[in-house]
Amino acid sequence: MSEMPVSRISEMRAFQAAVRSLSERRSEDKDLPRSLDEGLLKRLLSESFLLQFEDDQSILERRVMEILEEYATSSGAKEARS
Amino acid sequence: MRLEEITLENFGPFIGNQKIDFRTTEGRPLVIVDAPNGRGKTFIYRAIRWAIYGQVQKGKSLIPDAQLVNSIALGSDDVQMSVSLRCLSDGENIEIVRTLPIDSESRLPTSTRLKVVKDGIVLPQAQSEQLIRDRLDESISRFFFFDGEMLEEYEGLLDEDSSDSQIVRKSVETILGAPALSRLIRALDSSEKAIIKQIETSSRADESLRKLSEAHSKASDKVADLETDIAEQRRYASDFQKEIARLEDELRSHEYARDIFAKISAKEEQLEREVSEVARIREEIQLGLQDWQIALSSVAEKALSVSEPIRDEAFASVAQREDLTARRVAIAEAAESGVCSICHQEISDASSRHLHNELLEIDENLQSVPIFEKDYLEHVSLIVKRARSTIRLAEKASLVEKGRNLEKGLGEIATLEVEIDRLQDMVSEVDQPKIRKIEDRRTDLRRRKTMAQTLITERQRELTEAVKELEKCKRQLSDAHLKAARKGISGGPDLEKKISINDLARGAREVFTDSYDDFVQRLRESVSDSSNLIFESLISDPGYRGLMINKNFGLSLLNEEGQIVDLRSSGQSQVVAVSLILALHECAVRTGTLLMDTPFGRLDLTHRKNLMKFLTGHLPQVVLLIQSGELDEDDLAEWSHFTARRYKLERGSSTAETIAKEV
Repeated sequence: MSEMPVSRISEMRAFQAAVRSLSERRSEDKDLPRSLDEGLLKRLLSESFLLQFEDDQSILERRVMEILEEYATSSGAKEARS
Repeated sequence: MRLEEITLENFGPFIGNQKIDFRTTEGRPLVIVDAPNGRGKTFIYRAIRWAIYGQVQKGKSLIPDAQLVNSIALGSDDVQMSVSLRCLSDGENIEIVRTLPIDSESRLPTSTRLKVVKDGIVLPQAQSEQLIRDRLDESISRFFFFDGEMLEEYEGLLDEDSSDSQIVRKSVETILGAPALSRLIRALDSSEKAIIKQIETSSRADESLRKLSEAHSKASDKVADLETDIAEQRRYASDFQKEIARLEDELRSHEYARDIFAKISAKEEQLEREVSEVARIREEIQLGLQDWQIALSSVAEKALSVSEPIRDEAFASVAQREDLTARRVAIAEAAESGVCSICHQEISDASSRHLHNELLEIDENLQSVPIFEKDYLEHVSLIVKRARSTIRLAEKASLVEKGRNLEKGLGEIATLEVEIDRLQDMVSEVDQPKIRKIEDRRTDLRRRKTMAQTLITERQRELTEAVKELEKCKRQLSDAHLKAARKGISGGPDLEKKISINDLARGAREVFTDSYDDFVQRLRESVSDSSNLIFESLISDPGYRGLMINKNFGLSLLNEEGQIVDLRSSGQSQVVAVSLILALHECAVRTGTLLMDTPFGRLDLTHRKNLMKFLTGHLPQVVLLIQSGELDEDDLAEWSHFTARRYKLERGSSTAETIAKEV
């Protein structure tokens, strides 16, 4: 059994739970941005699991902001193209 | 993180440098270190923890570093204690070296130094500590390195309200990865706040936006206030808990005296019971004696009324016999000599015949007078019989037995008094009022902690409402900003992007917040499934339905009918605890060496075999620190084909020295 830096199993479980929650919220027609998709959830979770034992929470906050900015830009560009 | 090798220098009973190789190979996952009691097996476990975390606990108390240094080495010049641990983690070679130099003059330990080398490069201090947290955080170490004491902590998880179980539950959630999600939710919340601040700054000009911003700020302030209040109450509750734990530690240090006080109090109660029992027996004896006296005098009177006429009759008979006998002697003498003994004249033939007739008459009379000796004896027998009945009466009143009980009771009292004196001598130096004061203070703190927790619950209810209000404000504000930006009132494309980021942050936060409970529930289910499978492979008795998990990840044992087994045996508890640990090990966000100190202590032969079978079949590396007798030579031979290395800890030149030998 080889060692993994983080457990993909837990990360996957967290992702599956988030996907279920997203789909429920969409079906209830709650006010959610269209660009909020599984890809973004996955990236955010992956970053958080990677930094789960990092003491400094601000490192995660910075990474989350970067991902959100990146995602907002690319989805904005996509919307503009469409 | 997999352990490769440990080098102990003057640590515990290990003098100089001693190495233990933990490397295992495919199909041989076991490393066994066996030693008799007191040879230092637990010091290997402690050395690993000390090297990684810089501290070692015994129960809830920290062991001072000075107590870990070998006592013989402490007397030598230029000495230090150190533990070096070589590990393999994420494909990288990590070496953790912790050193405690000893001051050559005072012979006292100075402060510890940590050095972490990753793939041959020495890391700076901050990075060293972060690497340890990252690879094997202390909060999850309990699932990798554990000893018998920890097994009880797992049983404590069944008590959902205890603060200790909350700590263990938190570490269970940590090893399963739950904090990764909660920290992400917090990070998204912070991002949202930061962006809203930026948006507000760039759109202050518009009146309607300003109003919405104010409402938002107000709602945000309220949430912040409540959060501060809750955090403060939590701090109080945590401070109270820390103080309670400190007091409990202090109470534990008086545990010996407290035990004796408890014994004295129990003995005093026993003495009181004995004294009252003796008093009761005395009263019964008193009453019994009165009954006996009455009965005895009644019997004696009866005996007297029977024996008195007999005695009178016997006296009369004896007198009559004496008189007749005397007369007979005189007549017989006269008849024989032919001379009257009174008048000394010769007796005529007629008189001689008369005398002869008289003799016959006397003999006849003597025969008719009863011989009283025999009758007398019969009557005496009657008296004896009566006397016996008197004794029986006394026995009926249980006087003899009660007398014995009385003696026994008095003996008990004397023993108890001696024992109480002895116990009181033992604790004469202990300040009992001080102990009571600590206990009172603990009770007061518990009360205050409960009050703080009640306040937290109330504030949390208010916070839920305030958060809803804030969410509403956020949405309104965000919509208004977007509209304003699109109408060109404020911001422009940059603002639009910020609003878009904010919407993403808010949406993601809501999604993750909603999924958190679902995620933790699924983690719990997977731990439950794994522990049930492991339990099935460990337990020898098929009469159990399995294990049931609670919200703290505590496991209850279910009997055949599916009811919880309230009172488990120590063996059952160990099997359940080991099932949970192995399940958590299986579901953990990290993998690594499993090190168990005294793992078979409470297990019988079948369970020992089942556990060995599971460990060797499912884990890549298991270090077992066993005491001699936990596995005998036959067991060790049976598992030898799964054993990569085996060490024996042997006594060196003195009891303070242990030598680790590979066998």
